[in-house]
Amino acid sequence: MARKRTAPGASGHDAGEDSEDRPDQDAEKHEPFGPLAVERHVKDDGRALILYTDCEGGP
Amino acid sequence: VTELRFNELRGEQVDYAIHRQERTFLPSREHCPLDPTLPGRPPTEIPFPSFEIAVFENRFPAFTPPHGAAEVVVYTPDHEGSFATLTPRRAEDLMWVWRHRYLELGARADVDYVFIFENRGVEVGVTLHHPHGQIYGYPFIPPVPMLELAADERLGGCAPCSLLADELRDGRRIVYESPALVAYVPFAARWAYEVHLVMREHRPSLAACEPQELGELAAALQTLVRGYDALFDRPFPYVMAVHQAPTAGWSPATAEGRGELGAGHLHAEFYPPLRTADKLKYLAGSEQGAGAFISDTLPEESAAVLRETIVRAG
Repeated sequence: MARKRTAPGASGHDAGEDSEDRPDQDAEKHEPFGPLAVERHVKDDGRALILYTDCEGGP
Repeated sequence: VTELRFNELRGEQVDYAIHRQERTFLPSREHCPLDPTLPGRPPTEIPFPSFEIAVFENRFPAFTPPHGAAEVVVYTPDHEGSFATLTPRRAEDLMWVWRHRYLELGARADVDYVFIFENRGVEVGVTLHHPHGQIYGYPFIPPVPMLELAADERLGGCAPCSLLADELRDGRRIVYESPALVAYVPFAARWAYEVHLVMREHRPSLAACEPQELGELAAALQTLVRGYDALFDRPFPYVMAVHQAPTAGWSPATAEGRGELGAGHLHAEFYPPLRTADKLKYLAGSEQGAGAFISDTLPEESAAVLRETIVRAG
């Protein structure tokens, strides 16, 4: 399981900044699961957030 | 903070999550908390400008660690649409997300049953219109899965396997078939257009499915919802419940997707409250006070209409 990382919080997040642009989050970023890449975050209030991205066929 | 109390008279657990009184209720379009966070727009639950499928811990949870879990599954960044309007690929990806959550939550010592569900429509209490579902990790095996386990005992084997065989022999209530799945209005359905979508092979859970079966499951679910929407030419409200093997007592090997998954047979049950285009079935005196459903429709007749509609809707 990938280490959990802190996501930019809703309150302080620069909405123009895409997650792909944050170099500190590239290490151990994607955990494969079937056709998906699993990306873990922790919200400002401590709640878990997981983003799933299709790595094979696209949406 | 949540609290479980045991109702002795009914023999059931009742969950008290009083913070849920304050949960977001039918926000305006521009304040949808399940949208991506876009430049110049209010922040949402997902602080990224784009995503495909997102899962997060519910801000107003019915269950919290170390006594269970409550998660929200956002199917798409698009606010409009439904499960039926997802691309086939996105719907199939969602099956993998469900599988991932089943394995991960099921591995937790405080989760005895992983329940994936979707409430659709204000008629069943939806508070957010953005296409999404939920997952509860119960710290106990809830009454309905317990009844299914009791049915296994009563029938001397897997009850869904046995009931599916009965439905295939009869044939009148079947509304959809694919190589891996069969959908039917059950012989003793509670709701006018209740449908059970059942794996043909004995698969205790999503974790036991072959990849192509997950693809077929997604396609079948989308076909059913499209049929429902075409039935009265309106977005069709329903509760969709995914039933799988309980996760109580899992070994580490099971949590990793190996080993025995336990008793259960993966299937999805739809409970739509509409009995006509503009009439709802209410749970009233007999249903609530005596626990006895009274139906205004025959499953065979509902199935015939629904089968034809599903074909028409494509």
